[in-house]
Amino acid sequence: MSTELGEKQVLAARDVTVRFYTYAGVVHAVSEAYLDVYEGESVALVGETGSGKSVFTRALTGLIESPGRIESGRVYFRRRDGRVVDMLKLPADELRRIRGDEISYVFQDPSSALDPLYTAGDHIAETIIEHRAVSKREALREAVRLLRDVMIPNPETRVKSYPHELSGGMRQRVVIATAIANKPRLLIADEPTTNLDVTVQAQILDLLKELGKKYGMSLLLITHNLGIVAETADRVYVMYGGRIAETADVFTLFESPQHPYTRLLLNCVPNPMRKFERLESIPGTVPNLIDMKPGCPFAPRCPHALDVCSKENPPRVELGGNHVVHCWLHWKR
Amino acid sequence: MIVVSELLRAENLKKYFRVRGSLFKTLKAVDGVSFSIREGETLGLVGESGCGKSTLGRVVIRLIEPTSGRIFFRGKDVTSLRGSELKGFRREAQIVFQDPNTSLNPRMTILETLMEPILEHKIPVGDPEGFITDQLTRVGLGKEHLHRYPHELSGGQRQRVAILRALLPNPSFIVLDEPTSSLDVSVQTQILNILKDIQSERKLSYLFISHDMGVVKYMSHRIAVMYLGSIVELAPSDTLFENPLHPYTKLLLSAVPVPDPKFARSRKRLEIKGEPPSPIDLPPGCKFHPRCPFVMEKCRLERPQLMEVEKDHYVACWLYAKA
Amino acid sequence: MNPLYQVGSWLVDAYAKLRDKLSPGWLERNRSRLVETKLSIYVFTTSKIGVTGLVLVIVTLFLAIFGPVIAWEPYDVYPVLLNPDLAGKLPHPPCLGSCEELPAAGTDHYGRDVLSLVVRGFRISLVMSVIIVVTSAIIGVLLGLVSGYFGGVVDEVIMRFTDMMLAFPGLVLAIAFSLTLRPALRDFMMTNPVFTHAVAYIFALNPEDAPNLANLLSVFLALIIVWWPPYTRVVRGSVLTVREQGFIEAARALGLSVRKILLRHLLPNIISPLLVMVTFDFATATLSSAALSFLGLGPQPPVPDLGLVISQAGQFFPERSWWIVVEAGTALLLISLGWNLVGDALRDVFDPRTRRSIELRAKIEVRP
Repeated sequence: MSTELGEKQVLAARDVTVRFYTYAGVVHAVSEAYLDVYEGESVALVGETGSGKSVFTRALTGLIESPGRIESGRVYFRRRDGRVVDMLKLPADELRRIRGDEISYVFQDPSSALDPLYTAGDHIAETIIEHRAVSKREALREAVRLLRDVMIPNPETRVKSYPHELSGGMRQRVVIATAIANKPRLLIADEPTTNLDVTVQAQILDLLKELGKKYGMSLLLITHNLGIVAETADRVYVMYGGRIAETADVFTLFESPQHPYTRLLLNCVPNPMRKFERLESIPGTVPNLIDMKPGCPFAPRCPHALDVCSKENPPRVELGGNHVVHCWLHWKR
Repeated sequence: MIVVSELLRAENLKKYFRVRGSLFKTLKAVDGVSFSIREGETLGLVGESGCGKSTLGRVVIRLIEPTSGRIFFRGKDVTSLRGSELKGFRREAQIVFQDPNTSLNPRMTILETLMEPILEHKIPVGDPEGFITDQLTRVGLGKEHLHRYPHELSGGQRQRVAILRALLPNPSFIVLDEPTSSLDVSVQTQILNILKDIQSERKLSYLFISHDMGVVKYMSHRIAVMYLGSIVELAPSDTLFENPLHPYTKLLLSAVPVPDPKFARSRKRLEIKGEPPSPIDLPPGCKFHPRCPFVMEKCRLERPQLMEVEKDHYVACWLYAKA
Repeated sequence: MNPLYQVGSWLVDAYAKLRDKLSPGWLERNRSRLVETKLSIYVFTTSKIGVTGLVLVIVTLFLAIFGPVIAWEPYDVYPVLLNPDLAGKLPHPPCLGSCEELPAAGTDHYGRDVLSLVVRGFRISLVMSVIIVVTSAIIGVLLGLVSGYFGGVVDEVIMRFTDMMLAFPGLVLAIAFSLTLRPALRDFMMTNPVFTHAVAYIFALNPEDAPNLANLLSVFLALIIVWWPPYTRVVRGSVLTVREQGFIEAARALGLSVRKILLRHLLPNIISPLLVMVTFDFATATLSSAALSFLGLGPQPPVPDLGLVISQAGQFFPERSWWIVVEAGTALLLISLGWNLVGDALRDVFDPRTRRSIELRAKIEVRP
């Protein structure tokens, strides 16, 4: 694992561990997680509740608050001017400058991301003015341009609309417009379409891909929906119990998944285009992240678990290409 | 003619809501829907937000009273039942709601919640508590959950409790309103399998409402596609996916994310025009015509009805009307 | 773990053990409930404000119950009548050490020990505020439940009526009712000695003094009439929120009667904000009834109503009666402050988010 960024690489996270200190015990939210994002690509981070994907994503820009603590890790990011910085070592105000400007977030619920007292134009203009020295009028003009980019009809009128006057799909587009306003290098979208209709979801996902190409923006998509992953992502990371279980490009992952969890997860998802009799579910429940002992977090539910799986953390095994799996079954002595 | 094994039949159900602050505007949530469900069958109901599927699910069991239309259960008209007769219908027709976080009374323990249907319908079991404890395993729960409060259980466990609550009165028909939408994928599959097993054990009929096409296909024998209060297509599951006829169905299917990257990248997405309109200002003629890529003159003027185009396959579209 | 919580926790455990001995298995069945109770105690005791308020409330309750017993002077004996030489010296300021037979805390213009009066006054204040608030709350809950659940015409009628009552200036309306009810009450009390005795006993007053008891009653009947509308509003608001929750719909789908839904499902889920409101209201009611008495609309001397005591001191204020105002005023302050602080802490106790976040930080369990 190189600790420096490759030429075409935007982000490299290494060995990130996040723990939450509660009186109920120490929650091992994220353990030794890593991530690479290259220019112009879409990366998906897949996991269910308790996998740690949301915490990991927030940790990338230092957005973890007490009682959570980033225990260790490095998050290298190549800024617009070419400098490479470790996000986890930056002072708070520089992080704030990067957020919203070079790295943007889109969260799940557009209704709570938008202040009901401000128009769409206000939201977008605010983020422009925050990071660039432009007048309010110029910012609003750009807001109209951005609304057009995210395919909102009649942007000149819509820029004056309040959130409650917009449908769910349009609200999410406004949020996306706000996120891309400063042409970020990386857009992190956490379940951006979960509350939206299927047709609207398809439009938004297509839009994100278009914008990625148009603005030279990389996309980090966090989701539990494997259909979205198949449609949108170039590469995929699968998380379970706070650890990365497997990563590969999207075709490889779906065609020959190597981690038992990935396999079972793919078998759970009903594919409407295929005929099948019965879906095999994964027995058991998600692991308790409190006071976790070493060992593979999936061991209690894994049908192929070996003795060593519950005792020692699984090793990183490179399977060629960019396919990596963390599993004792693939460990050759 | 009444088919022998038909369990539930809805005839021209309508549910109109008056819009506040306006005398003339009505929200036509359900606009003349007819269908039937046989014993042991699952009818899937799909559509996007505002199509009225949740309202229809509630109207069919009279949780919301229909504005007009009739509901037949086992051949008997149950539309205007009252009192103890209505209660008898309620025992037979149950519902599981979407959000497990609010469908259980936060101040009642699981046992108290599950005792209610037994006591309310006077289900003859010798020892109610023992009976409930046995039934818990049916849905994958254990004795230790009995005396806990809902907030001590996970979303998946709460939904199991909700399902068990619906099963205890021994119904023959259950409306499942997006029962797994808020759950993780692996939990979802567990619950869907439980529902399927119970269905074959007890010959239950389900009305399975969902926006997830993959899940609906897995669970349903037949599927009805709803748009703005009307059924636009009704067909057996496989037929619907292999040969969708209505333009909206085609649109829907092309938008559904498929967990197969090769397929996803090779297919062409149907151009989706505009946003779903509101059920208050309905366009004249066919409700879908403003967004339809195949719109004809007739579509703007007259509203098409559901017609049988091939065996068991119904569509409401002028493209398929026989001259 | 703070010591107060440990006491509370020990009490809960002891109770649990006892119940379990009486009916084995009780502990298991109610474990969750006990844990919730302990959590409530924990949240409450971690709030310094709450504990302070609780201390004040306990003192108030103690004095309210035992005040008339431990008060060392009767309230209806005027020393100045027994001992006319005192007239010039009254009201006598507090004298620490240097007084002859005069009370150390000072006297009022009748020569009564002010502190003894104040101690008796707690009973009246507390009973008044509790009865006013509880009665208003009950009326408000009934109307609010019906109005909120049924909606439509029923809701409109009830709410318009409530609005109408709310539109009147509360104190003025209370004054008007108090004056009009008084004669009727007086007659009623004259003709119903059993009732009069009961009232006198509750307030620890002389049952012979029927007119004054009637005055007392008129104050709080007037206040009840004015007090219930806000409760109806608040309860209705809570009902509107809870009504939309899934489990209410589930109860209807089960075929439960309206009465059962209201009592079993709605009421328990709206009680928390109600309890908080009631607690705060005890403070407000204490002060409002004292205000009415201050204006002379309540009982007349010799009844040791705190508001009346202050008002009587008015003619000699400030140099010749400041201690009366200070002592009675402080009593009122402490009573209302106590309820306010407890209400504040209760709000935290019932707020689900605060509970969950504290629950994570405290290890609460019930051991068999």
